[in-house]
Amino acid sequence: MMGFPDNFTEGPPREVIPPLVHLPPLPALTTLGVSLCTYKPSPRLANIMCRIPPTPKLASVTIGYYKWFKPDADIEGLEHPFQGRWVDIDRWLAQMAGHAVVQLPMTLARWPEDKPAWNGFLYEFRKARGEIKITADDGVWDDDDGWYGDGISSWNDGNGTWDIDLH
Amino acid sequence: MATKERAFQEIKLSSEHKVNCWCIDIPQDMDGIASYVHAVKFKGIGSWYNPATLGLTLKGLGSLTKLWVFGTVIPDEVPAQISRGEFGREITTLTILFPPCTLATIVSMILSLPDLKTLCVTANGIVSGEPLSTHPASPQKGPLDLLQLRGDVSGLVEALAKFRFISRRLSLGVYIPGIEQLITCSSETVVELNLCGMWFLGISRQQK
Repeated sequence: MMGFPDNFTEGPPREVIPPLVHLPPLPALTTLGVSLCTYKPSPRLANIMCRIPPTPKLASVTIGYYKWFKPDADIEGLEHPFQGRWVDIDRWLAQMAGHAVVQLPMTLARWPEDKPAWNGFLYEFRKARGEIKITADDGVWDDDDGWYGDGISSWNDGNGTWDIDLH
Repeated sequence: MATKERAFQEIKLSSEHKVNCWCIDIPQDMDGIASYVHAVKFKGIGSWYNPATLGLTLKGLGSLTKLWVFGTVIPDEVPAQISRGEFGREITTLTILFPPCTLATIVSMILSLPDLKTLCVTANGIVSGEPLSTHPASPQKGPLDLLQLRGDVSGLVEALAKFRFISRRLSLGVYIPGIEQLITCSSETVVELNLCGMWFLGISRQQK
């Protein structure tokens, strides 16, 4: 039977996969943080993360999300959110399961508890006896530094900053 | 720390008028208030009536270690004055947000600071201006403690890679083209890498 092209039968158009990046070994790397906007890491983010050569000193991988990220809204329509690029990330993490602890914010870790998908989340990493730490939600990634740079929080609240207003 | 020292540790100047007020009033003060200032923030000065004002202000702040410019023009003569050692040699933290100046000026400013340790730049596009090759390159003395880039900083990534900027900590927007170059430059020294997945500013969702 003749079918429609994939991009019609599968709903939304397929994402453009960016070309693979090439990164050299990062022998001194101890801490890696990634921040997500959705449950689904972007191809670019997964691409860069998974192309970091396994590094023996890596002790901590923090997967965070932005404070304005709305998990309930984002998850709508996603039956298996922890597949696809998460599998690539899981495989990458599993290579460092002996020494790297993965930290997940509570919301990201807690949501899928009643879903079959949770059992598969970071499966390879857990199978390799990797340690996962659940952190409080107030520790989610807050990109104020990214927007405003060093210390803008004191701009508005008078925390040690003197606003010049002489006349 | 005395109350006055603490009160003046960080100041913000959000108009040229306020900058002028600071320059006129504070030097007459005999209590050394200007020496208490370790951080200065300029915000929203999109053009200078007198472009020499920024340099004059910085010249009066002998203890300055942190410079923060948000939507503020950096006149071309400022990096030249810093390079000549007239002021600002102790600045270790430079934060540039939404700069209304050219790439060449930004790069000159960065290169003029010999002891820079923290560099944060967020932009929604940077005007390319004159070619970078006309600016003298001074080698980075040591690795930065932190290099943080967000938004559309096209051109700056290439410039920092060209001048072999390295850092112990990198915090990079993953949608910025060419960040692999910066990671590669710092491959031997980087201990902490943060990858920011947000696509905000001039970077469209289609580029995800």
